[in-house]
Amino acid sequence: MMIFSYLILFNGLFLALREYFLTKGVHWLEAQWTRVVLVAPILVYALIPTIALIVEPSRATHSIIFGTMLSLVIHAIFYIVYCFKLLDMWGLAATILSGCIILESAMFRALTEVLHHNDAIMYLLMGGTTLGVFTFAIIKLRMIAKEMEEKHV
Amino acid sequence: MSKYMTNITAQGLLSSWQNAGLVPQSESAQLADFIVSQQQEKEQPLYLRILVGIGAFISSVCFIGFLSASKIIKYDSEAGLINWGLIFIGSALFLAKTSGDQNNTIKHSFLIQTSFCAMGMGKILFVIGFAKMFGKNSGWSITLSTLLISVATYYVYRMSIDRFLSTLAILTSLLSNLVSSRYFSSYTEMLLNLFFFIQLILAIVLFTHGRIKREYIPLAYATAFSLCITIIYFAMESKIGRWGSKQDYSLIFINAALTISLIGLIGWAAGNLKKLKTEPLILAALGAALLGIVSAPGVILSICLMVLGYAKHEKLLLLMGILLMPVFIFLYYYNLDISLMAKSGVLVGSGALLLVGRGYLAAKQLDREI
Repeated sequence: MMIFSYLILFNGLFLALREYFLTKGVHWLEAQWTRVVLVAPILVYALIPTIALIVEPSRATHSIIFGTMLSLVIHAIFYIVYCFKLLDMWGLAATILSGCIILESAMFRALTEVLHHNDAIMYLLMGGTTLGVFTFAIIKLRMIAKEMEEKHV
Repeated sequence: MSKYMTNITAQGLLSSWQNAGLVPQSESAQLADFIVSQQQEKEQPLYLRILVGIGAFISSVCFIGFLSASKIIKYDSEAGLINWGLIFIGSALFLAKTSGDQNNTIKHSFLIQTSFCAMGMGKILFVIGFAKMFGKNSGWSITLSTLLISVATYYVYRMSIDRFLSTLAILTSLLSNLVSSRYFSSYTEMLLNLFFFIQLILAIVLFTHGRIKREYIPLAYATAFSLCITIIYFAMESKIGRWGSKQDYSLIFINAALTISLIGLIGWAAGNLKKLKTEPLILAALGAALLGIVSAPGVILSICLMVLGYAKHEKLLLLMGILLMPVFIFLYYYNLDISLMAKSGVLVGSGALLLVGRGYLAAKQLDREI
């Protein structure tokens, strides 16, 4: 599982280089997709050890725990950078989506543990939780987008 | 991406026509009204629609699980499933109507999310119920039921993500039925080619025709995605048919169709097919023809998407082409039946050829925007 941590760091290095060279005036890096194609894989690699830890915490190795900690750090950095510094809605949306998946996995695991004897209630709460988590995420993104628009009008 | 790509607004276009004397001042108000009447509701940004789609899909699966576990819905009753499907679809339409003003973020977001979840549940239950009526022929019945429900809701449920997913589901299920069919035998290849050709023509018309309504944009994207899925499938599988009776499938027709489409797109993007007679476009067309002979259809499709996306200023198409290109190149080289040393030689050779081509274009100044 350490491979995912290495991939996060490797792609993270190129993302950092991309942001650095963009500030230095390298124009071909202006295209938004050059950021998205680096952010998306980093978040995917960050998700894998995190979900592995949530699904089977008793079998988590050191590499999975390290990967999860790195994942949380990456998510926090991306949120702060794309919400307050670089103001990129796609990067922020990808980070929030990844966060929703992690939160959903944790809640589904908890519900399965507590309500495994009652499938109906378990599925109902899972559905309600999903609606709540994603609605909150959408509201948050819309509010941030509106603030960004107001600041840049 | 070119720094010349701009966002053109209807207001800006109308103003430039007035300034050029193409539109009399007296008719500008009428034209503006016409433009407004053609507009759909203001769409949410794509990243929000993706979030809505993913959240609604997960929650609809959970709620269907709840309905099954609580035995509110009996899965052995086809009529019951269809009825419940229609009830949920009706609820989705009601929730969408009552979601209100987009400025009321909390209410609107929650109701739209719930509405899309209900629509997802309704369509899934309807399709399951309808498919169960046909027993062993459930593959084709899934396609038929998806088609029926999608056509019924396309014009009344105005969410582009729903239109996109429904159309994609129809096309993907059609492909699945055709590639795994045991009924058509020697006609399967002909039907697959016809299916691909129809998708290609549909995508070309929807993307290049200047008068396509906005409500058909999700249909266009779904067709483009379906083309990509079809090509990815054939990049990984060279045989079709049921397990135990598979037959080979030739990609010659698909390659030819995509090559001709690429040459046509190059001419269209230049403004007129007659511009294919100019030197740079003759070279481009020859290159496309050569690519059609030596290359895989996925590479040609990626280039088509990039040309289309660049010409139409559609970033999503451009991004699809850019992201799919390395995938198809990887699959192409992976599937080459030669040694690794020979493959590396081919890679180096093709890279060198591309660099020479780039150098030639730069030397002749053919890489500039006109």
